[in-house]
Amino acid sequence: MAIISHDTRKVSFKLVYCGPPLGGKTTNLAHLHRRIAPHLRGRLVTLASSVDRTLFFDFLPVKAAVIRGYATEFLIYTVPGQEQFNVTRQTVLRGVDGIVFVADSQLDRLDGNLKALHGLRRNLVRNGQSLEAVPVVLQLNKRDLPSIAPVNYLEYLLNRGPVRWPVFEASATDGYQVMATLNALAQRVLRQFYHHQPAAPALAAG
Amino acid sequence: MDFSSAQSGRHLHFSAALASQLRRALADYCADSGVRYAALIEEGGTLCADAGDDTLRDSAEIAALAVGAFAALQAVAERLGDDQFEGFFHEGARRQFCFTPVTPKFLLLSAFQPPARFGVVKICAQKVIARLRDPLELLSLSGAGGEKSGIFHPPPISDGGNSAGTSQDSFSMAGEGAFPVSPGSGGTFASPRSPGRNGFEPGDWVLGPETHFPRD
Repeated sequence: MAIISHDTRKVSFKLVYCGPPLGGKTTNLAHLHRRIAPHLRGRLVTLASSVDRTLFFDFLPVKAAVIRGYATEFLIYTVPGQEQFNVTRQTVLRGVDGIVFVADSQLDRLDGNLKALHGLRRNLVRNGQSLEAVPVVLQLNKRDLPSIAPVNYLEYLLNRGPVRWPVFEASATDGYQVMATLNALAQRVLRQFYHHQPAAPALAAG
Repeated sequence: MDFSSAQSGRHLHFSAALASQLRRALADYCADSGVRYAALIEEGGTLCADAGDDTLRDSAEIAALAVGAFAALQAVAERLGDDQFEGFFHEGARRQFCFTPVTPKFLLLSAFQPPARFGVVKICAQKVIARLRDPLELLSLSGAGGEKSGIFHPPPISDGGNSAGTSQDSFSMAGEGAFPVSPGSGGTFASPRSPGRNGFEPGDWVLGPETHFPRD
């Protein structure tokens, strides 16, 4: 749910990075933080355990010029991937305007991807939203590793809904396709906001 | 009636008039209670209005963390058998703060320090919540798809609040399908049914095939 303040001339969108545990959500955010100029982003807030597992969420506010005369702010969150943090995930997903699903491409993580996707769908429904109505971009992360599943198989598993999501093969540790993923999601979110209607059929992936 | 603030579809529009009213209520609250900084935060973690000491403002991060912290504690309270979680209060060495739910969708953050006292802050918070609740609930309900449910569980307000501040007239609230004033239009409203611009004119948009962030 975008928040539009005509007083301060600001529009805020909430983007959430979801996916299985250890899939690379926080690594995505850390790269965005490094890559985006300091005057266009805030501090990266990370609430993590001593072994770098996200406990609550990571948070990074970034700005972009989208609407003349209005500051546009994207509030980017990650959610903890571990199963026991479902309440946190549901809370962070409240009012989400766009989602990046960060899938782990490794063969032994396919089950984790599916569980995370089902959990995401369930949490959105509990929040009164649906996966079909929210702009989503699918990032197939860790493409640099050995023992990864073929892209078309991952797509078959994860991208079979009525709205086909744009797909990015990425390697978040190297920053490969991290910005492309965010740009694609921002475009879809803005397009939906502009047209003020449910998500249009998939746009061409970058 | 002012049609410049509304939840149109999935979006919350805060008109200049409503934002000003909310800020005035929060400023009155700060003056009455001794609170140094007060912020009204939406359940998604976005700051909607604030008043008081600007040096305490760190809007985006505090708002996101406040909602997360409140929701987490509320969930703990529920699991421990308390389904009416009315907020929490932190008494630190330098700063004290409390979070109080205003409506199911909005949270009030109050930061203060001695000589302000929690008891006084709590009473004044009830008064400002009574002022804020009606317009915020109307805002949440207005527009297509508007719904009242949210993650916070605000307690019922006793009539000790400032009822003079709760009338619709004093807040110039929006009606169904309302759209905001076009930027710089001096009071001309976009048509409530105009096809999808969210109240902005087509010329306002820089939306295009270009990227909004650096490329990889």
